[in-house]
Amino acid sequence: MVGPAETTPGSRERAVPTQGPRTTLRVPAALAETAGRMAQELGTSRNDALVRLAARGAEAYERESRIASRREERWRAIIGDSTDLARAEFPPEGEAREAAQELRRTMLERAEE
Amino acid sequence: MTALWDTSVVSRLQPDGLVQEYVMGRSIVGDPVRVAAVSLLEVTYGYQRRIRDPRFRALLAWFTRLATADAFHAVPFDGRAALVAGRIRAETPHPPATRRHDPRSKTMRQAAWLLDIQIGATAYAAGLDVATENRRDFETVAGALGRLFPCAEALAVVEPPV
Repeated sequence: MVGPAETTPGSRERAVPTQGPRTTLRVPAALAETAGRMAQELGTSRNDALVRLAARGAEAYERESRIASRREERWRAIIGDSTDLARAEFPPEGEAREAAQELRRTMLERAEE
Repeated sequence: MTALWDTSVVSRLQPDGLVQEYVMGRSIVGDPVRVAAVSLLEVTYGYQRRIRDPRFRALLAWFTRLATADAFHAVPFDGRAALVAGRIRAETPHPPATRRHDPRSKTMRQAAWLLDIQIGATAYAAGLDVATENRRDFETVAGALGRLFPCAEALAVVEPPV
């Protein structure tokens, strides 16, 4: 993330020199206004403020992407059982219901102990 | 990596406290703290039980406003998390051996264990780690997840950031 540039009292802060490709952007009015306010607060240029805002956005995007990718990797592991259901044998209904309600039953039994 | 806060961390939230300051700071920079919805259940239960005490009435009102103002992000115990939690509970039916002088009954320890499992499963299914002061129980949950789903990235149990 881009940190605040150093200033001397009473001076306008210089924008942090950035490297990378130059670009021309059409900036929505609301974003330009935010960048203008930020530039004033930091005593820097509006361009520099825009780069700082973009860096914050990029950081948030990367973080969310990492979380989403791990969530999907774990989900694939959770559903990854390769049992062939077309050939599988299932327990009868009574036995299945008993298994499905076992947690509730064991907790009640413990509560009554 | 971003971690989900469990009840041991959320329960330290106090008006004007350090934890609240940290939560507000994260909210302002657009990276809100993630809190398990199950922990909200636990915290509000405890405050509601003491609701006749005006201090707790005030604390509950403050906590509710904090939650509804989106100061933090409540991560739900959803369908995916439920599928995971059931499997963890079957894999590890009992919590780790109790510390000496644990005043809780066996039933209470079992109930607390189920809540910890739900919180661990919430974090796992949401792609998060878990931040807790109760490392021992959550490391047991993480161990069960590692056995159940060895191919996926493990659940990391981390210290609270504040």
